Amino acid sequence: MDASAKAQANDRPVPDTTHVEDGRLRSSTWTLLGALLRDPPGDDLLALLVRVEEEDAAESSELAAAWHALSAAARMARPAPLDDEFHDLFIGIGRGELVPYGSWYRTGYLMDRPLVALRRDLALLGLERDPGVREPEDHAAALAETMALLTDPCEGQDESTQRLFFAEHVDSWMPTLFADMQAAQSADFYRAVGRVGEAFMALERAWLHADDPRPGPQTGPGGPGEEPQ
Amino acid sequence: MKRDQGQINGARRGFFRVVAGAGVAAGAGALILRSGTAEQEPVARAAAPEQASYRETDHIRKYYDTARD
Repeated sequence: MDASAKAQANDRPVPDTTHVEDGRLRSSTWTLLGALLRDPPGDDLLALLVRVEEEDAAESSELAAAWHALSAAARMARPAPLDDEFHDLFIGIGRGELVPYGSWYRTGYLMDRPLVALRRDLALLGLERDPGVREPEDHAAALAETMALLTDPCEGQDESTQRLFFAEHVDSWMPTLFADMQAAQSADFYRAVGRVGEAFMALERAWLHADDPRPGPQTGPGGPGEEPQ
Repeated sequence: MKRDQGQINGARRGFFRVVAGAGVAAGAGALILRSGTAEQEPVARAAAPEQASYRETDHIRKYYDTARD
């Protein structure tokens, strides 16, 4: 599909090929993050991650450094320990070390008001949870997937809508999750995922001109003693 | 921010080369789907406060520029 057709389909004011490319890159990055947050990566995805290190020269930006660290972690990763790490981090017995749900991070409770608001907005955007999926829509992977759909240059939404969704449902808590991921005792490979996630969120915040919801350092959600419902 | 270009070039190019491939690898098993209710889209657009003009900083622009190569 050519750029003007894409722009028209998306009701964009500027049929700009460059902008379409940007959208594709952003969307792909969100897709990758969604995949890493949804399941431990399989061999194919790990092999792709390893290739980055092989292809690129050293350089100094935070996202690039984060990316190289993830690539190095992918090189060291083995399927069985990675499955264990994912389970310990996100699933656990009763709960994992981290609880990757927006409602939990924002209110200290699972399936609370933020999930209700998210479901409303997803419906407005013409998106829905796969009927076969049990995870609530405010799981970090689902939100990354949603951002991938919203930033898709063919079928996504305009940037003002992206910004609204990002600010309300994503940037309001996922940077904290990514920070917690980097500090989690159970994390090894996922420390590197957290670093990439945090750096990419900062880029998206700048791209969308969203306000930074965290003017200062912030600790994790809930705090000791709080348990999910 | 021209001076940043040399620093940021390489890894970003590779990063996006990989994520483009990962998009394919990661496509299966998605949690969120399009519901295909096209008539709902205008409501979502109406909820946006204003049509965003396309704004960018040189730094961010360069990031995506270099990634396209």
